[in-house]
Amino acid sequence: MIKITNLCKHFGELVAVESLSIEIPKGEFFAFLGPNAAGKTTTIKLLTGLLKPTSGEASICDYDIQRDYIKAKSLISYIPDFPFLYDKLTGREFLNFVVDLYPAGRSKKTEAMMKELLFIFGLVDHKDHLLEYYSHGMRQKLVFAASLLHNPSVMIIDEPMVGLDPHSAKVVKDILKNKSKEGVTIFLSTHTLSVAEELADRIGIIDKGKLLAIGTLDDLKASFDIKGKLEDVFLRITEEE
Amino acid sequence: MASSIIFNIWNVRLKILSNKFKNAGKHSKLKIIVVWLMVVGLFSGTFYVPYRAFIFLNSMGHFGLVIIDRLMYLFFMGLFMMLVFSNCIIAYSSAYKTRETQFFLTLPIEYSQIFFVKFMDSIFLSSWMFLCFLMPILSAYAFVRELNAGFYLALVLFFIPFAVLCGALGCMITMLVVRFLPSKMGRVLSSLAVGLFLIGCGWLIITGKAAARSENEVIFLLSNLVPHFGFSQFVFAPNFWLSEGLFKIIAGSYKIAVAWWLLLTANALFFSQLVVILAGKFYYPGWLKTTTSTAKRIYLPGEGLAEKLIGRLTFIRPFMRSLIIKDIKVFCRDPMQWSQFAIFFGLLGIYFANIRNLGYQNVLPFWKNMISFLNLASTNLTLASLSVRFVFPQLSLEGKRFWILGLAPIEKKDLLLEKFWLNSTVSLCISLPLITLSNFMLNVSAQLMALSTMVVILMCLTLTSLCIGLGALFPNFKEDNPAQIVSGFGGTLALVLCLVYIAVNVMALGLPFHLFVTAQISQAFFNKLIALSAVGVCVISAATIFFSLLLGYRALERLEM
Repeated sequence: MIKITNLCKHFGELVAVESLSIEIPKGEFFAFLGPNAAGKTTTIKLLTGLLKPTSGEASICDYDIQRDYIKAKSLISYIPDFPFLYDKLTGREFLNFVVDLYPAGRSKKTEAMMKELLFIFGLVDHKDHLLEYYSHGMRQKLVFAASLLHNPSVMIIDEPMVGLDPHSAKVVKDILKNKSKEGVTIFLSTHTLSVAEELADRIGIIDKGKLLAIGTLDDLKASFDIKGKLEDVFLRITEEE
Repeated sequence: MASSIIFNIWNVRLKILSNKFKNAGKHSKLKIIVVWLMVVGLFSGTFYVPYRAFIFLNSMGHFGLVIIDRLMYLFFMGLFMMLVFSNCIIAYSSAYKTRETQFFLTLPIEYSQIFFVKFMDSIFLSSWMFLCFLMPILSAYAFVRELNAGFYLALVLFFIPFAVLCGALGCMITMLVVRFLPSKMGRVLSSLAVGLFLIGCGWLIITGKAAARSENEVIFLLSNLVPHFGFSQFVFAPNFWLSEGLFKIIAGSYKIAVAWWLLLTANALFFSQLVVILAGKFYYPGWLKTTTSTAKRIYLPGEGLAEKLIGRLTFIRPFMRSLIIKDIKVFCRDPMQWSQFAIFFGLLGIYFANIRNLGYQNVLPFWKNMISFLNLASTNLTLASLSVRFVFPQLSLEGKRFWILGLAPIEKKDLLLEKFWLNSTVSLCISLPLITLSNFMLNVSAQLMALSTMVVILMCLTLTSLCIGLGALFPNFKEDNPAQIVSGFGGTLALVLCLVYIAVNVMALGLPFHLFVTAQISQAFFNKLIALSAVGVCVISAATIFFSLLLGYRALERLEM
């Protein structure tokens, strides 16, 4: 589903991502961890086509994100940590707008899904309010709802829990779990290690642009001979580096 | 699919606009009335001034009509240049620097379509304001030439392809510059442009030859001005096609007018198509370049000129010095900010440096006096518009960062005063040399020179205080874009008050000189009148500065973050 081959990104002399190769099969929940400025956001931007690699390739469902970007992007949904929204649109208008931008467009099914998602995220009472009055958490929930409306095959998520209350965080986690079971590939970048520990099938740890470790939590623990939590594994790997 | 995406995006644009209007109803009725009064006042002024000028020229008979028509050619040429230039600026900020673009780029939309949407945005944003100001000026022209409603219809029909063509040219220039101009080259080119500009000004001042003086002032002006208008009638320029088309409509030659319209429309369509084709190739690589520029400069502490210069001003308290250095650095490191300053004052500089070439220093005292005051007014109008554009939004722009200053042990009055003194000093450093240059070129009397210097100093202080005070009274902490902050109620009010202040002061001082040079008052009465006017201007300015800063200070004190 997601295939990253020898991906490199240089900003002048700075190497943000170096020879990154990861393959994430259909339906896998992949957590991408790393300290600040490790190269996580750069990798996500390369995956979504917001950056062009210096060398190497990234493809979504066998579509190269640079060459076949329309087909690749039709299958992705991207949730940034601080999403862009139109302040002068209402929540409902924004959702309709996003649906219309995808090839499938609006249908009775999307209408029903929209109602359901607004209900799940507790936005029903606010759906006709302008987005400028939404709190950060409400905005984040709306973007989650928008990202699910076109039935993506791959979800790329940057810091999903920023600004979410415990109830909404639980809802998001449940949705992501279910999506993964339904066959949606999830690429999640986060600093919240407990979320990664709870949800991820496999975990990748990156620092200074290099992939330091990849595998299931048990694999990582075994490789580094640690019996504690993911936090211990993460600290050991990144400190060693 | 392509057209449906563009349709959807535009549909959303319309919804946003309609939501804004719906929201506008929530504002107080007084605010809405004040806004409408300001709009009506601005448009009336935009109509009245050219109307009086056209009446004056029309009264000269055939010569006057020739000048009016030549002025229209010149006007459309200026419009063409301004539209292309504003499209360049808008296309850059809208297609390369907004978060919306980043959002679109994550969606399954062709790059050429994204740029096409931004191209349409740019045409709309650049044209609507021009059209609003175009209409009163052209209405004044239509009134004087006694034209019927058909002229207005023709004007709209001609303006649409003209605006599209200007938009296409502006967007294309921006796209190609962003794609092909190396980042470091931009700095080299801008330094080169400034250097060439200074050399050019110096050369013009040294070699400028005075035009021959004629007995007849009108013929003198005509013989000097009309040949200079020739460049506005270049046959391959779109402004010429627009002007010719409209003149043919006025003359009743409708078939030829249609031919000009077709020429304009064909070119608009051709260049729009070219924009889409080029965007498919160059937009995305250009966008990547702006977001991943490798030309990152390292800023070492203490190396900047501002730091060295302000650091030596030990009589200023340390935290004030820090604030000043921060403001200077933020301004200088954003080319979008200082380039507009450089362009507008640069154009004024070129004009003032050319005064001798135009022979204005040899005209009768009446005209010399008139030109001197018009130069003073134009400098102050430029200063007013740039003050509103740059000074008014400064406190709002602190916005999300206001907690830094809010938590710091600084009195809010100091923050206000820092902005006031810094911006006043910058304004003075630009305006004073320009007015001195103008006076020097015109060989005006010492009295007029002293008076205009005093006016410039007062205006710099007053315009800055008005913008700072109103900026604190009407802050907008939600918006990051200064243009959006300025377009609100506070920004519009600041602009109107600045214009009123300039008009009152220039008229108060200009009138005694006008009456004196036209021999309507004696020297003794003139001396009394000018002294009275100068005192009046000082009192008005001092009161405006005091109350603007006081109201601004009280607003800052009340401010809850």
